[in-house]
Amino acid sequence: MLGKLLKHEWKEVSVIPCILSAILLVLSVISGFSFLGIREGIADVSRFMTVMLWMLFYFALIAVSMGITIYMAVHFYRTMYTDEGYLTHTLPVSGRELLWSKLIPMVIWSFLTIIVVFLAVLIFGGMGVMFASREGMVSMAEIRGSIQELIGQLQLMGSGSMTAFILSMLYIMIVGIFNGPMMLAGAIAIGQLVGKHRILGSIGAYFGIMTIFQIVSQVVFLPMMFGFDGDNPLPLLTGTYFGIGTVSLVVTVLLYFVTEYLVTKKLNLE
Amino acid sequence: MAWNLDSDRPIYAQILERIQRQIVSGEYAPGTKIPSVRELAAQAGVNPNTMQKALSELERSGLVVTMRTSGRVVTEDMEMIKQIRKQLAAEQAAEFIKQMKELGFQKADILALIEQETGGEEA
Amino acid sequence: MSGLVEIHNLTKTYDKKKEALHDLTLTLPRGKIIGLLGPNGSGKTTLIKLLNGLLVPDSGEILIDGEKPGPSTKAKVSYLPERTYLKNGATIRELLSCFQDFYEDFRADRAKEMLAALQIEENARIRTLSKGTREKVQLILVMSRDASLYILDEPIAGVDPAARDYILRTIITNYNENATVLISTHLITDIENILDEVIFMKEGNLLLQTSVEEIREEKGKSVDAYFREVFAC
Repeated sequence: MLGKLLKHEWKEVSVIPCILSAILLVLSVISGFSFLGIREGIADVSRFMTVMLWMLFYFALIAVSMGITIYMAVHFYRTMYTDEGYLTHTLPVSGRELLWSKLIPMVIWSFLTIIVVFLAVLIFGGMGVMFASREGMVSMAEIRGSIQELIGQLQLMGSGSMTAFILSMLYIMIVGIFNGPMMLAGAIAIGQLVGKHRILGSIGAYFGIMTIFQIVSQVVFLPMMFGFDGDNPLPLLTGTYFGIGTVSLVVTVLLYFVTEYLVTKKLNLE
Repeated sequence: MAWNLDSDRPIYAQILERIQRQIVSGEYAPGTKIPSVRELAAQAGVNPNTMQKALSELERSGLVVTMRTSGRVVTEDMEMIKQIRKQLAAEQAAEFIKQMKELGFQKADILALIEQETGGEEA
Repeated sequence: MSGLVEIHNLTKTYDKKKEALHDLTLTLPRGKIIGLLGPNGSGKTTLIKLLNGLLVPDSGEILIDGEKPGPSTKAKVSYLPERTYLKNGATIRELLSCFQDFYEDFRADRAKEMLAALQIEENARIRTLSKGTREKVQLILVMSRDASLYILDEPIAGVDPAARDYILRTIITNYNENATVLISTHLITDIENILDEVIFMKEGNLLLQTSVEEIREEKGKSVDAYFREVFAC
């Protein structure tokens, strides 16, 4: 049954995020073309237009990634706890299967959103470099040079700590892909415990979880601050990322069990 | 709904009476098929179990016969239909006379009234 | 044979103080159309939600065909809630495929026939349908299942007489013969002729469960009149 649930859920939930992603990618190409007009001494008007396009692209990045996240949260709320919940919860499936069928697409889209944003930035930046180098404003050799310089600097810090740093970044990103959706679903489920104002309850629960999360992160982070030798920041950052990553992993797992308990044992549709 | 039934009298008896009348009046001619319980219940807006009970009663009295191939059909026994017709007429007459007496009519008044009311038809 | 639904000492409390159901014990027999009647706040809707697993009881138990509400009872209970749960963006065809995928007892051909009779296009989106049509679509979906128990919450509230006739006819013609139909309503007059039994509820408990023909025969009253008498204050 989980397979059938996932099939229906995925089809239903993916339309809007697909459209939003497509809009962002198209926008990244359009904004990328704005680099075409850049040369020394261009008119103020076109400079203004170019900057506006860049800003538009920047806002679109934020709007689309937030839009997809909010859409997924609203969809979870709508199908689980509004009138539509009357159908959702009378399907012949267990509460756990239902929850997984909602969470899996949320996690996949939380991953895809990162990919889409990354792609959009890559297109925008790539086109920028391409056009700028054609105008002779930057040369490819110059870019190559500065990248090599950066790598050189990083190598100075020691390749072992570099690998650890990259791993810690990957770790926190992967945990984040799961943590984001779980925070939203958990907050919405907890909000249902409030008698009347359940949406407010959910928002309150979200900020409550965030606060607890931040306090715990601080507690983990502080001791490491004292261990900082002031010379090489990389090990400190690596440690912080691993610390925060692990805290959010624990929060994610705890929230999952709380949510599963609420969905299977405390369902209370209005 | 389609059938006008009183909710304060047993529905079963009212349905029974109504189908009897339909048979006697020829609305359901001898030998014609009676719709299924479900269909009749839906038409009448009554409970299928109640309709089933009424049809079983009609079967028991012989006015409706169950054929193996065509389901329930109206009996072709004209004698029986005639008899039921008489019985229904007698019941109506008794009811009418009772009501007239309640209005204070005597036998002669009632007969005169009937004579007067049916006079036009005979002419 | 035991009843289709057995309820023992069922209690459900909201918010500590408000008690919705108090120690309710009740049996629903098989193959009957049963009216669930009672004033507002008598616990009808709470009972219906508990039967469908939309609420969890505080104590006591519900057995449907010997099982507690869960995936396997949901597979044989067909539920028409008071509100419309149809997704606005979905087409009729998508809804049919959803029901067909999840409910083994769903008869798509029957649903299609009824939709065609009402001239409802399968490509139509729910958002484009009137409120009355949406309600009919939902009823058609619910009644196209060969369920063991149909639970219909206020199926004729706020509809015109023609729609009411359509709804009652649809229920009578489509329910599975061995199934029980539980209809909650406050419009007793409109519905009493199709009932076998009635359950009167008051303040979260069972006041009375009896056959409707018995009420007519013994009291010489309609169920509606009898209800008024019982609940007169």
